[in-house]
Amino acid sequence: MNKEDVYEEQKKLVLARLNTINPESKIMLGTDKNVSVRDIITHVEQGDDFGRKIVRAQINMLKVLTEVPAE
Amino acid sequence: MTKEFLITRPLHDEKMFYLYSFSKAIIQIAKENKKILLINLEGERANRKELESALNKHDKGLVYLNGHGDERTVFGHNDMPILDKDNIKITKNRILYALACSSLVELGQLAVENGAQAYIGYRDEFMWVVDPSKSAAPDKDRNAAPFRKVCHALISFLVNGEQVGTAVEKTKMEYKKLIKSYGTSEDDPFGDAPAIGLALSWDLLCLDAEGDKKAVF
Repeated sequence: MNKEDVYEEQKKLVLARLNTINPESKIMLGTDKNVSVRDIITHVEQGDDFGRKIVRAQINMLKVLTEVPAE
Repeated sequence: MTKEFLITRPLHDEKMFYLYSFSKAIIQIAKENKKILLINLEGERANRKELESALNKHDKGLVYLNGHGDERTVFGHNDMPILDKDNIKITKNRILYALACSSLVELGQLAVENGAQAYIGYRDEFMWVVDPSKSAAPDKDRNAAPFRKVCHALISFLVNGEQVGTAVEKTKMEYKKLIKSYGTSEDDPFGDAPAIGLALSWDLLCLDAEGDKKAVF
């Protein structure tokens, strides 16, 4: 599986997760724009730069959630 | 001997109301610490002239910048540039934490090249979640609470004398704890908790530091 195939799989996973979130949740960005979860889903579906970063953040979140605490 | 702690707190739009709210606790802590000389540039005073004047009076200390930002600039009151390549030399010998979008990318590196001990910031946009019904009262916005907590944790670690690298790593641990708390909110699948987890994960990836990781305030 090449990098782009891995990304496409991650994207599917992230979209499945994003679709369980309240689409109207309001996310502030430090720049002028704000986004809703609905907007974020659109960015991820379109695969633009912001959407790809969202995929990376969500995958990172899943890694954090599955981390086993050090004994 | 007192140590200089300078903070800029613009207050001209909704987003600045939130950042202003995030820094309230550290202001109180600094005021109560007799070993700290607090310089609080808030509202209209969060401008370039005041910043330069204050930093030119002392030769080291901690600087906490709140504001909009981009890769090359941190902005102050009314989104006027407060720190950029033309005045970056005023950061010499200082430790900076910029709660501003993206400024670590170029400005942070430039600050270190011009003598700043260290520059902590974000490599992309800083993201947080709000409850629109509470946006007029950020202090009461529970959605924003975890973001307040991590921002406060980082500046508190620095004020309390942690090394820059340690402060950043401990803050990242705090992020992870919060992500675990919000990211698995099975009892709140259609609330805002999953979005909070997403935004925390984003910020965790973006937070970093340039310069001397062993620098101490």
